[in-house]
Amino acid sequence: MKNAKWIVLLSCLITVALLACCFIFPFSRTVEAGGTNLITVEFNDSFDRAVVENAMREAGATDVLVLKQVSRTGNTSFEEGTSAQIYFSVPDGTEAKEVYDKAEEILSQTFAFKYPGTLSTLSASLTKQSVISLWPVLIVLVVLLAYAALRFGIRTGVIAAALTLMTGIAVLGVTAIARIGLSHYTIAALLGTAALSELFVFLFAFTKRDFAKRTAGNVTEAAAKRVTVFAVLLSCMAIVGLVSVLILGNAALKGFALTALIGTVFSACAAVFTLPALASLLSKAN
Amino acid sequence: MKIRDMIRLIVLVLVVVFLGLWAFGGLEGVTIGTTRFLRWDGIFRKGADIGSKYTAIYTISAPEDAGNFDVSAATLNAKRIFEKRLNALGAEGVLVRQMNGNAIRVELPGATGSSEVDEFLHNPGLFKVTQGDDLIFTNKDVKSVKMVGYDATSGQVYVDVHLNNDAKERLANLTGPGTGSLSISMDGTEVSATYSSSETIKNGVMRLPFSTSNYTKALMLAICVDSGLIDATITVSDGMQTEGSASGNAADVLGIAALAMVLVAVVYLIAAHKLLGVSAAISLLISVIALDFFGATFTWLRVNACGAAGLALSILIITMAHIAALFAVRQQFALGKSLTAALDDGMTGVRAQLLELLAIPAVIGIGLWIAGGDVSAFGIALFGGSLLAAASSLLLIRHIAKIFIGIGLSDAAAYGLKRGE
Repeated sequence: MKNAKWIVLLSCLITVALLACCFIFPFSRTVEAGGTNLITVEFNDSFDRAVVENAMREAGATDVLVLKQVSRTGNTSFEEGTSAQIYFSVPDGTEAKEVYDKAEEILSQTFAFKYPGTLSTLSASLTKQSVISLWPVLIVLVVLLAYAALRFGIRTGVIAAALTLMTGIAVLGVTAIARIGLSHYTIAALLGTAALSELFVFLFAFTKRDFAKRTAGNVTEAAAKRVTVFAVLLSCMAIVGLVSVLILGNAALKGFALTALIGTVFSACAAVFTLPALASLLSKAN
Repeated sequence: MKIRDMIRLIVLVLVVVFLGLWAFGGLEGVTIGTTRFLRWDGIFRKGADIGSKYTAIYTISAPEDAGNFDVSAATLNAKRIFEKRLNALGAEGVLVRQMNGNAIRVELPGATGSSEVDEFLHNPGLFKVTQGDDLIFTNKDVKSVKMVGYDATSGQVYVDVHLNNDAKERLANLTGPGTGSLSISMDGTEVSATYSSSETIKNGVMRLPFSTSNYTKALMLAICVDSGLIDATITVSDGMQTEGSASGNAADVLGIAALAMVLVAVVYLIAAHKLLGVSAAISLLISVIALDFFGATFTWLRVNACGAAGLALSILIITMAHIAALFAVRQQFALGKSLTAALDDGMTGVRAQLLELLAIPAVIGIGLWIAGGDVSAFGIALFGGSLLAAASSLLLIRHIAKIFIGIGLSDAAAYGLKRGE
C-alpha cells in the first residue's frame, strides 16, 4: 500500500494530539460527574422546568438538573409543587454564585420568587461512578483483543488494540474540545463506537483469511478494500441515525448522539485508512 | 411451481407489511378482534433515561459526633447497599448513580410507585435486639436476614435472622424454658413486639413473627438489615421529586433514527446488489421487525441509553451479516457456478465464517448481560441482535431469493451477478 507509513504516522499524530487535548481542555463538568452546586428555590406559582434549565444554561452552567417537588395525591397521581431543586455545574474558574445570580435575573422576568434560596456547593470530587461502570466493558475489550491475537495472530491483535485505542482517545479528545460533559450517555456512545472499531478489525481478519484460502494475490489489500465497503456503509447508516437524533433529540440525547457521531466518524476513518496502512506495514515487517 | 412461489411472495410481502405496520405504530389504535394495537413505543420497557422518570437524590453526611468520617467511602458503601435493596425489591430499570462525593441519584422508570421504594432506601438499617436495657445483638452479629413468607397455619409472616457463629451461643443462652423475651428494633423503632422461644435455639436462627398487616415492616426488616448498615446520615432531597417529561420524545427520536439507518441499508442493498439486494432488504426488514419484538418482549431487556446503543449496533451487525452473505454468493457465481448453486454454495461457504464472526458479539453480549451492571442492556441487545443476524442472513436471504427464481426471475444479471468478478 502506498504511503502506508505516512498514514500510520498521521494517525498516530492525530491520536497523540487528541490525547493531549484530554489534558489541556478539562472535561466539561456535568451534574453526574463533576462539581455540583445545589440551590432550592421556591416560586410563587407553578413553573416550567425547561425554562429554568434554559435560564441556567444561558447564565453559563455547563449542566443542569432541575427537580420539581411533587406530592402524591393517589396511587398514580401527583400534584406538582412550586419549589425546585436546581443542581448545576459551572466551568472551572467560574463562581457558582455568579452563574446563579445571572440565572435568577433571567428567571425573574418570567417567574416571581417566594424564596430565592441559598446556594450550597456539594463535594467537587470527580465521581468514580463512570469508571466503575466502565470496568466490565474494559475487560470485554481486552478479552476481545486477546482473542484477536490468539485467533488471527499477534499482528491482528496489535491492529485491533491500535484501532480501539485510537477511536477511544479520539472520542474522549473531541469530547473534551467540544465541551461535551462526561456522563453515562457518553459512556454508552464510547462503548458502541469502540465495539464498532473492533468489529471492523474482526471483519478484516476473517475476510483476509477467507481470501488467503482462495487467492495468491495481495490478500491484505483485497481484504482492506472489502472492509472499506463495510466501514463506509455501516458508518453512513450510523451517521444518518445519529444526525436524526442530533436534530430531533433533547439535550441529553444530543450529547449522546454527538459523542457517538464523533466515534463513528473516527472508527470509519481508522477502518478505511489506518487499518490497511497498519496491516500493510506489519506484513512488510514480517 | 411458479404460482406457488408467486403466492409465497405475496404472502411474505403482506406479512412483512403487516408486521412492519404493527411494529412501528401504523396500527396504533386499530382494533382487530379483541386486540387493540398500542402506540409503537408503548410495548417497550423503557429505561429511566429514555422514558419518563422519577428522581430522588439522597445526600450522605457524617453522623453526629462521628469525628474523622470519610463521606466519599460512606457514599460508595450506601450506593452498593441501595443497589442490593433495589435488587431485593425486584425494582427494574433503576439507575443508581453516585453524584459527586456525597450524593446518590436514584432514577426510577415511570412516574409511579416510588415512595414505597424510598422507604426502603432512606433507612440506615440499624438492627438492635435488646433484653430490658441490655443490648444483645446488633448488625455485626447478623450473617443474613431472609424473608420466609406467609405461614397459613399460624396466619403470620416470618422473617429469619441468621446470626453469625459468635452470636449463636448467646442466642442459645437466651432461649429455652424460663427465659425472657427479646425486643427487636430497626432504626430506633420496634418492629416486632417480642421474641421468645420455649426451646433452646442452637442453630443461630431467630424466626421473627409478624402479623399479616405488618407485612411491609417484615419485608423492610429483611431487606434493609440483610443488605447492610448504612453507617451515615441519609437525607432525601426534600421528598420525592420528578423530572417531568424532559425525555418524552426520546423513544420517537430513537425509532426515527433506527428507521433512517435501515433505509440507508435498503437503498445500498438494492442499488448495489439488485434483486439479490431486494432479497437481503426483505430479510433485513424482517430482522429489524424481529429485533423490535425482541426488544419489546425479552423480559430482561430494558431499553435505556445503553440498550438503544446496543440495538443500533445490532442493526449494523445484521446489515453487515447480510452483506457478507451477498458477497459470498457473488464470489461463487464469479467462479462459474449457476445462480441456484451460487446461492446454495455461497451460503454454505460463508456459514462457518459468519457464525464465528457473530459468536463474538453474542458472547460479549452474554458477558455484559451477566456482569455489565449499568451497561447490561447493551449486552442483551447485542446478544439478541447477533442471533437474529445469524438466523436471517443464513436462512432468509436464500429462501427469498429462491422465491424470486421460482417466479421466473432467473437472469443472473438481474441479481447483480457477474462472472469472473
